[in-house]
Amino acid sequence: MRLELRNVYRAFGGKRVLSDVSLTVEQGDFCALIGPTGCGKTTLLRISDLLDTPDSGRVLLDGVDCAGCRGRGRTMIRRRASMVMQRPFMLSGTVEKNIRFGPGVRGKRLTGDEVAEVLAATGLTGMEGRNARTLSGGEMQKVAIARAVVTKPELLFLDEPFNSVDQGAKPELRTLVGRLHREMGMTVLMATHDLADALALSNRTAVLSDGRLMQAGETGPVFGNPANLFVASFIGMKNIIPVAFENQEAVAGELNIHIAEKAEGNGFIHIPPEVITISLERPDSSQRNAFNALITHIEETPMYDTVHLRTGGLALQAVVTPQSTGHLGLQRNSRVWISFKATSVRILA
Amino acid sequence: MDKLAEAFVIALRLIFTGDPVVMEITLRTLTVSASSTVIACLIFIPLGCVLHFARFPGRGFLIGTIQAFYSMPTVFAGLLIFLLLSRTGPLGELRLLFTTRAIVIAQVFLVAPVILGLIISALKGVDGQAADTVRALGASPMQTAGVLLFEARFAVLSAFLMGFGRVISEVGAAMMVGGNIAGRTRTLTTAISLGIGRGEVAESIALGIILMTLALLVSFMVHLSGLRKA
Amino acid sequence: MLSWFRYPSLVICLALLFSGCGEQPGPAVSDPAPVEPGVYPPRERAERLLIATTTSLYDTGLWAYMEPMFEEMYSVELDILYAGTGKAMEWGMRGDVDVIVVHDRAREEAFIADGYGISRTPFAYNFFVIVGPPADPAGIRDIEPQLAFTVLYENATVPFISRGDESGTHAQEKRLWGAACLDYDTVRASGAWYVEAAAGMGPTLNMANEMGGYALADIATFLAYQGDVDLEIIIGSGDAMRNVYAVIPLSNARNPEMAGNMVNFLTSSEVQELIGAYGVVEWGRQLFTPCAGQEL
Repeated sequence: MRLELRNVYRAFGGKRVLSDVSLTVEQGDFCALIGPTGCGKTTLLRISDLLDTPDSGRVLLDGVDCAGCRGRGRTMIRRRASMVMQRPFMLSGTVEKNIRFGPGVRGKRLTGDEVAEVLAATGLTGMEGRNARTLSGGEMQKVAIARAVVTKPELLFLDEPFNSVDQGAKPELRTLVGRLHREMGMTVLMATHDLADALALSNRTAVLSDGRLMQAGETGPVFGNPANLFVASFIGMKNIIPVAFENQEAVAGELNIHIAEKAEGNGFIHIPPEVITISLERPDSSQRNAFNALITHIEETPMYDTVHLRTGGLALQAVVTPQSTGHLGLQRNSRVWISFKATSVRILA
Repeated sequence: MDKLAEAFVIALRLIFTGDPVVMEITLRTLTVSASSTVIACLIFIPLGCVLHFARFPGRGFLIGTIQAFYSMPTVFAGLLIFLLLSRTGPLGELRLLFTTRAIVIAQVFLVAPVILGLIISALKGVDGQAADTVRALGASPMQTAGVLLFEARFAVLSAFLMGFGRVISEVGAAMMVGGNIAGRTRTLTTAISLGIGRGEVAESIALGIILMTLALLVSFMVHLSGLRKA
Repeated sequence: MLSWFRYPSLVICLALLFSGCGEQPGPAVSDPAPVEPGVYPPRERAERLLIATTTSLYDTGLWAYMEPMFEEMYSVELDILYAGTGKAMEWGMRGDVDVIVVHDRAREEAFIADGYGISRTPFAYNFFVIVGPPADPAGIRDIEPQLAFTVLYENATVPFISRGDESGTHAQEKRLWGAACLDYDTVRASGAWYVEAAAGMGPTLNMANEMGGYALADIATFLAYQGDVDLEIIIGSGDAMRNVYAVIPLSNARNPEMAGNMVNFLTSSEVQELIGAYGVVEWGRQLFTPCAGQEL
């Protein structure tokens, strides 16, 4: 099912929660909706699932305008979608009762096999008789997912589904959600503030801040090419530097950094840590930007090392392999040269 | 004091030998009170659901007013229904006055605020997420109300029992619209009030013991249902 | 849209069904008098006659005594409501009952003149009595009733308990105050000695007993309560004290024919004889003197 929101506004008691949000999720997409807590993700999901009505704007499901739908019509459309909330509410009774609920309200009675199938798919086999309220957070969330997908929805909404789940269970659930998306071919819109979820599962990402959509598009480019400062800093990028632009240079502190485009006024640039090359000697001039820097400390992990540097009054980070660290003999207080191409420098609005 | 003890003995004897008059009055009281409570529940539980889910200006004020009517004086309810059912009143031709049906009507009116208010409280006590979860799973508004009532079932049962307790122990409405006619509209409470007025101590005590036992039973059941939360 | 009406109509149907319950007429007696003559099995009869009578007459048990006989003879359900004369008349004015049986000639005649009642037929009488503590603290034993009232008013310390409920007995009391040439409102406001019970005869007598005071009662109720209270008849006779019960069928009765039957029943020689015999065995004296046909 295709979801389209057009110019959605929603306010509660005078406080604006969503402003002019327009978003399209195509059939089969897995769209991650990211943003800080309180930015309106839950409201957006509820409006999309017809649990709430926008003050203005349109909600189109498969091209049908649903914002003004009422009564039976609304219920029937909503039955083609499903939603998993942050802290799942378990109906009183067994796990099986919870699972049978969705089909039950549609007048459908599941066979024992169908129940067993969905239990197996969500890793709940053998737990159908358990009282749903005595389960752990992770198990409850699995039940919530199971009962949401057993109705074979065309559109699945997930509202920070791994929030109330402890770290150990997260990867398992994440894999489960991804697998269900692939196997059932449904459209998914998942709100999360954990970027790893977005990176792992989604092919599209939308960034929401304070009720406004900051950026939406394919996941890779959104993460790789943040449209503005907010997205960039939310995504947690390092090496964001406030600069004054002069022609094709960005001036920050004592550094004149060459950039690929002409720019004016003040702004921010972003130097991705992975484009910074560290060398012991001044590199040749094929790299336009080269600076002398002091290593302040090194964070080591098995996969990569983050080298923290100071240069020209700025603090920067570079990412190198542990082998390079060893090979170059990098350590605290070493003096090194850092270099990066002008074209690798991103200009942020 | 001796007289009182003597009266007690007679009272117990009336109860345990199944004195026909006492039994008849008790049975009628139970039937009328049960009917009133059940009918009130059938009407006002759904209405309570509607009020709980609806949002309109003045809703809070309306709910406050309902709660204020919990202790509506029974004679007030009785008087209103009397005026309604009297021959000169709008529903006079229905010939309902001085029948048990009139008592049921008055008691339904009397217990309406109690049922409404307690149902709204009961629904408020259910997890706020419940309604959304259930709707998201595809439940229609009526199905949603049904699930929420089920989740709050012990509170709903309490509401029923409280309503029952209120009607079985009231005398003002039953007296006014029933007339305390022997063999037709005499209930435990109206019989006691007549008996006391006449000095029929033993009979009044017998009826009083039965009434108190029923009231205690109801109270006990409310307590039990309150202990068990879903 | 139509589905909206399904549920409410279901409720209404259930309501009508349910409320039929509880109507089973049980043994019609809950008063001390024995069911005589003969015991009739209770039966569900379709026809109903509603009568309103005064509490004082009701409390004597005479109605419970006669009820099964009337019901059997005329194949009807007799429903007896009781209230003070004023309230009974109000029910009559509204048309909520078919017959009233009260004991206040003046008001009855006004009632008929106003068109609410068809006719007034006296069928029995007894006497009002002034009762009080055996020690007779106000010293009014056996004097004229009007004089006794004057004494009580001037004494103003020994309590007098009035019905205070616009009943027939209360009306009689007011007549006596008038006969003593005392303004009633003045009497009411003259002090704590005058107590308005605003209750039936039984509770009023109980109050007089508790407070050691006097009260005006009808002989029948007093005899029924004599065992429970420490009071005696202080003044027991006098023409002014005659208490006449009359039966009035109502103009807008639902069941005028059956209302007429009630009049015939009460004035029939058989029932008149039963009324005269009522209470003799139990209390050693006549409670009512039958008087059908007399101008009272």
